[in-house]
Amino acid sequence: MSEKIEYIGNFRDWIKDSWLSEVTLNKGFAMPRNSLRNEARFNPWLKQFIHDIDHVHTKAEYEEIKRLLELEDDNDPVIKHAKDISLVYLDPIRNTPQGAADFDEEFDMYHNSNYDIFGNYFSLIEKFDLSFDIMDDPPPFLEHKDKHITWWFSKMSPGHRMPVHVDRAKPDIEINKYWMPWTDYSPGHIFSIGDKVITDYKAGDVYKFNYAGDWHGACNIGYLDRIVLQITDYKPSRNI
Amino acid sequence: MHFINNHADWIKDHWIEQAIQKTGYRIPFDFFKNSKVFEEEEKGMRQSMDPSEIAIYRTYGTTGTFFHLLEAQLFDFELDRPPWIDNNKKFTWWMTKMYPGQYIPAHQDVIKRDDPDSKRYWVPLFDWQPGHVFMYESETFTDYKAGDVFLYDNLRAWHCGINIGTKLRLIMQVTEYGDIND
Repeated sequence: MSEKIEYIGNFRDWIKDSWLSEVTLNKGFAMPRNSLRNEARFNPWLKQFIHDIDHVHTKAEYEEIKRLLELEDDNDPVIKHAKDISLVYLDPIRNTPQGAADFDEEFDMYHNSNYDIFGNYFSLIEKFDLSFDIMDDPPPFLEHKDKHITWWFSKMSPGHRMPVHVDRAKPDIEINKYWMPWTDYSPGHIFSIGDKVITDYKAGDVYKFNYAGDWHGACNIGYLDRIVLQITDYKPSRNI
Repeated sequence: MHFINNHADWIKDHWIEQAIQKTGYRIPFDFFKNSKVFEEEEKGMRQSMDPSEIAIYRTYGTTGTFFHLLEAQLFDFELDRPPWIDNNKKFTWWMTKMYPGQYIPAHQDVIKRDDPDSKRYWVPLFDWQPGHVFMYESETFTDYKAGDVFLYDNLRAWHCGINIGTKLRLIMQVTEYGDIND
């Protein structure tokens, strides 16, 4: 196991059966295909432009959104995010080489490797999609005092695959990531980080890594769904 | 599965060049395209598939391209005898080519040749890249070099492979079987 990954222990007892049932039944959002739709749920600016999940904007609509966005305040993080990330998703030529040129390096890499950059790599289930919040009964392995915590589930059905990538992180902030499968390991369930692959785990095992600066990716080329809780914590600096 | 030795010197550049150029069989698309595989199997017209192979097609369908199978007869060259193969044994070989995103789901191999002493070797033709994964039971193989030769310890072990990286993955498989004089 890489020095950057630490096995913390098994915390299966902490997982409530009702949580597990709910996550198992929840289909989540196909990512990255529906990422913008997902984001629009809690991004009021974006919401006004996303009417239905499969809508492809016309060039005229896209240009109008771009014009309106230019009128907004750049200091608003929602607007900044929309400019940096969301806008390219609205571009009707997004899945062409010309459209892909607007994407960042990560998407360029996927595009150049012939991945469908709007494909279905995994299903994302966030706390907005669930009736419970794990922080109501905080995970016992988490040191959460004064820390900002985000969590979500990734669900991979057979055939889902997330290409290798390097996480974006602010280098001046210490980030901890926790990887906790809620399903037992099954042949074909792969989580690869650096030159390591985590296998033979049990539901409730927890692995911690400080920063996913290593190449990592995951896939399910088995026969059973794979569900993983992912938690990130960081201590906000005074500037945040 | 365990490492035997590195035989990078044995690999010829033109083998790789041809493998990159050839499409081969798109598995399972081409396998099912012109034949009624399940029907032929039921009628005894073809060898039975392993249940794990049937599970793949039932779960993943039969119309996609999981990977490209490049069989020996596809190439314009005769492969030099692999130096690690017993001189008294016959051998057969093929390559699997996986573009980014391609994979072969978890399965068990069918031992096609009626030889209990047959051996199967796994030989990557490119150095390992992030996102190139081969799993054999619960072991994974990374950081290998082109020409490394690995021996399957158990021909019926569950195994699978995937390329979730950004570079082509090319593997040669060699099976040693039977007596060369038979």
